[in-house]
Amino acid sequence: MRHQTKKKIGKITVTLSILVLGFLFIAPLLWMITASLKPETLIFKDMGISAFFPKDVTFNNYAEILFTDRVNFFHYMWNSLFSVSMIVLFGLIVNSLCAYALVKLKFPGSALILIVIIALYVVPFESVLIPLYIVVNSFGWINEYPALIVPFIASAFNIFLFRQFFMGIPKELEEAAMLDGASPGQTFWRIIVPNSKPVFATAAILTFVTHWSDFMWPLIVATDESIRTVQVGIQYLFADRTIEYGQIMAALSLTTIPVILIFIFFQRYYVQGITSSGVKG
Amino acid sequence: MEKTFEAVPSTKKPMTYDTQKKWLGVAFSLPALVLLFTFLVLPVMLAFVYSFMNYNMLNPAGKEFVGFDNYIRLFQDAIFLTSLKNTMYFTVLVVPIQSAVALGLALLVNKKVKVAGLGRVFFFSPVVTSMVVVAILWTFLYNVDSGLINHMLHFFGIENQPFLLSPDQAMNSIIFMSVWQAAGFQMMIFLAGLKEVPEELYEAAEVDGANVWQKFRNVTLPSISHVTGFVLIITTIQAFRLFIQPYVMTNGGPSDSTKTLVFMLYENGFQFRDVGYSSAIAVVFFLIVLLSSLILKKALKQ
Amino acid sequence: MKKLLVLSTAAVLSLGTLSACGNDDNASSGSNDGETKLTLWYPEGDMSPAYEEIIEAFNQENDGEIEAEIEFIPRGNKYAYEDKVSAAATSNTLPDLLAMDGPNVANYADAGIIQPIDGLVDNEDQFVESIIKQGTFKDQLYAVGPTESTVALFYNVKMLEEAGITPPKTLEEAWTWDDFYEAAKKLTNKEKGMYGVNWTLDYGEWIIYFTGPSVWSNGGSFIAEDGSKADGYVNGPETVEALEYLKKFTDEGLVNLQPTPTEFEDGNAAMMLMGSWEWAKLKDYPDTEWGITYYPKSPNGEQVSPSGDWAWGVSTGTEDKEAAAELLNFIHTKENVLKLAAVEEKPPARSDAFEELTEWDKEPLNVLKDQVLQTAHPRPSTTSYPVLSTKYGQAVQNIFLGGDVQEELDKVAKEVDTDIERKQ
Repeated sequence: MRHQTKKKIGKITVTLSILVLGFLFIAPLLWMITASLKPETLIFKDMGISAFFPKDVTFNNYAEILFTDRVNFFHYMWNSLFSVSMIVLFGLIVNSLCAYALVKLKFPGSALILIVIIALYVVPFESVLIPLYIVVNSFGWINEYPALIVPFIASAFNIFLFRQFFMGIPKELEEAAMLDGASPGQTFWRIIVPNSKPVFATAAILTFVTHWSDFMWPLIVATDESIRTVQVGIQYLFADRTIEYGQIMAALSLTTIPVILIFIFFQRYYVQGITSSGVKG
Repeated sequence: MEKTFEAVPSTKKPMTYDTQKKWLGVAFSLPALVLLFTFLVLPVMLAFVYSFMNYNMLNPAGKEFVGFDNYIRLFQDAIFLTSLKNTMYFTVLVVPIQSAVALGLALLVNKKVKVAGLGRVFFFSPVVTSMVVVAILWTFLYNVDSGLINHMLHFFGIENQPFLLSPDQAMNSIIFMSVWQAAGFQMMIFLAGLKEVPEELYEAAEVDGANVWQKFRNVTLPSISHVTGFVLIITTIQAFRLFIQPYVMTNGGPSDSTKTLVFMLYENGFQFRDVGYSSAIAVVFFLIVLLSSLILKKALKQ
Repeated sequence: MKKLLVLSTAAVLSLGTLSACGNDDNASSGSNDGETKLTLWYPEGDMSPAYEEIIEAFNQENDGEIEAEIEFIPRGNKYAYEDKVSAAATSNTLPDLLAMDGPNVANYADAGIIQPIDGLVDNEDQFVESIIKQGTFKDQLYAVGPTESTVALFYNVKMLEEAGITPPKTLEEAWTWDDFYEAAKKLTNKEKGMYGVNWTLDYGEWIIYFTGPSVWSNGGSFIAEDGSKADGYVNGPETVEALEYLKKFTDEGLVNLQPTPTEFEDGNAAMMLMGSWEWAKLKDYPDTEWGITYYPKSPNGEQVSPSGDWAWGVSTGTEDKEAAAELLNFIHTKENVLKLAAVEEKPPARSDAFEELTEWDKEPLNVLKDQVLQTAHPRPSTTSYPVLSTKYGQAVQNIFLGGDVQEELDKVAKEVDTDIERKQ
């Protein structure tokens, strides 16, 4: 059938574009991984296409960072995973509830609050770093986990994101739930959440990525070895004036793995959202 | 209403759905609001107070109020005007380009092909790739003598371009790189939006004999308009906050051509430990971005 | 709404006072059971294990009296360590002993976060002159450090031989600017992608550190002796002349403006103007023969070389200055200085320690020793140093890319003078 072949050609075109464009996007990540497998003296020697095909593969760089007694890479990794996961977990709950309240449970002042929240997203972190440090210090949280987690749970960006998507959820769905006798809380749990899986996944991924790469804040509030995050932990590789690029690339490769895994994990929630109703548009 | 009940005020009336909604609204938003107040509003207010002070970060006891001195200095500072201009230039160019690229990528990986999932990982990967690696590699790509981009231009008979070394090209080079690096972020938001578009709409359009473009124009775009508006606003704000790319790749140069407002804010606040001046920059920055976002929002509504 | 405003204003004000008075809850030192506790901050790196051993030995020696604990702060590739110190200073959470890069001494001393240690340092006369100078602000000693550093000219022995160039072996014969320039020109081969010299265009502290000697050697300077003025100094005729000379290298393509990090090691540059620490890295390339010669001098001036390294100061907040001084002296005993210097093969900052290291009397390390003991020049001691270093670095970057020397340096002078004014 003509229609069928046309569809097939379309699919092949899309597949090819994804792969070709995709390479342009992932090339640096691949370079990083291949560089981490090379001996130090060969890393910058060849910067052409052949840089992606190392001849002498070595795992020395990995051994150096994982099995040195100077730093505890696994422990740093755990600290990062723990604190960022807490931010994501509590963040999803707190921010989605807030957005739901602002959009669907309009209460006096909610319109103004929304404007303030959007305005707060404008604030660059660099400008509140010192005042925030003073606030957190007054709670006595320096060198404790809450300093890494609590300030970042509520997020103007995420509230704004949730709000935007909840607005798109058809009223009819809620009204139907209301008629069934569901309370607003139950409506949230039974209607809003199941119909918003993609945006929850997006918020989770973007929050995870943002805070996984945090450096400045964890450095300032967490000096102590015991709660040091991985981004801070691997900085010792840059500190010496003679920089070992192979080890840096190995460390960076290891720190990238969890983010990629998280990304793949949340991908499964990218299902078609509202298929049961054709009311939108 | 039966009057008898009025005499017994303590009796709990079942709340109406609407009052229930109101109280629940307050209860649901409270945790976020308290946290935002403590860790964002409060620091912002502190920064606002500091902007009227001469405050050396190393000597907090010696800080003193100096009125509008920091603001007066700011508006006489040539670097401030340059930074403002650079930031505006970056924003005006990067927002439409990056949003369009992100939407294009989202449409591509929203198609039902086997490699779609892989594509998402690929396009998103620059977002998770360490800035250290990104900076090293793009500096190589932009290298005036041996960079890959110059090799390609050479192939087309164009002579070598200085890119990051030229005051005229450095910002454009950073724009190009930023689009590449950050488009995956916006792509994920668009993708969530595309998943919300009911399949039935496309089927209906197909029955009407719409082609690919018409489907995009008449079904996709209107269905995700709330997402597009969101993406445009957050991309604008993110663009205004440009800092890390010039910080690691050009250090604001050459000739201040990639110096941005947040760069200036960081430099004065941390490197020069001038908290007062840095806070004044932050306040002015905040007002500028807020104003721009409001204008954008108005424009989007029309 | 109004209530909220009142509440928040109150909160802001109370926090403001908190930060102004400083809460001493977190302050570092304290004593329980008669045992004094001391904390130290040092940038994390190769030195960490050696410092750990030294602190452990100190604790054993002072068991029951003083207990020291060292924290290693990640430094990142720019100013992360300094940013951390700033944040701690603004909330009074600094340690008792604080390591700082040499040029920060004046800034920290002026802000009052470190205190004078005159008369508390044992064997002060054994320290090399440049280290004492680096640690002095307004005639008072604030910091000393165990090691020194310098910049010299590294070269690829075979390449220079092939070009018929003989690099100088003694301090008296050190190259002048012209000799250096001629050699670089001869060694540059554009078709082969070979550069005469490699120098890093790093954005941090490096630029003022490695170009400083050219300025001083030419009789120029960065700031008035008393630190009161930059105009007429950083943009004075001698300084301008020195940068015009360096600019020749970049203008004529004798230096690669965008080198790979290992250009010299990979054999794509014949010489390299680099810090003494790079000697350790060259050991990764045993198949090539390397040499070191002196930092080139101005034809109308003296031989000068850069200096400066991390040093220790006692913070103002410490509760037991004597114990802190005791620890400071323990770090700087001859044995410990030798131990610390050995880690990165740094030049030790005590001359009696230097005497024990015989390998530094032989080629090529003798060049580094000569420079540290005879030609070292510390960077300017001024409280506006962060502005000077940053703005000067940016200006030099612009100059190397084709900017006008006088114009760029005039801008630096203006920025630094604004900062000096602010601090008065």
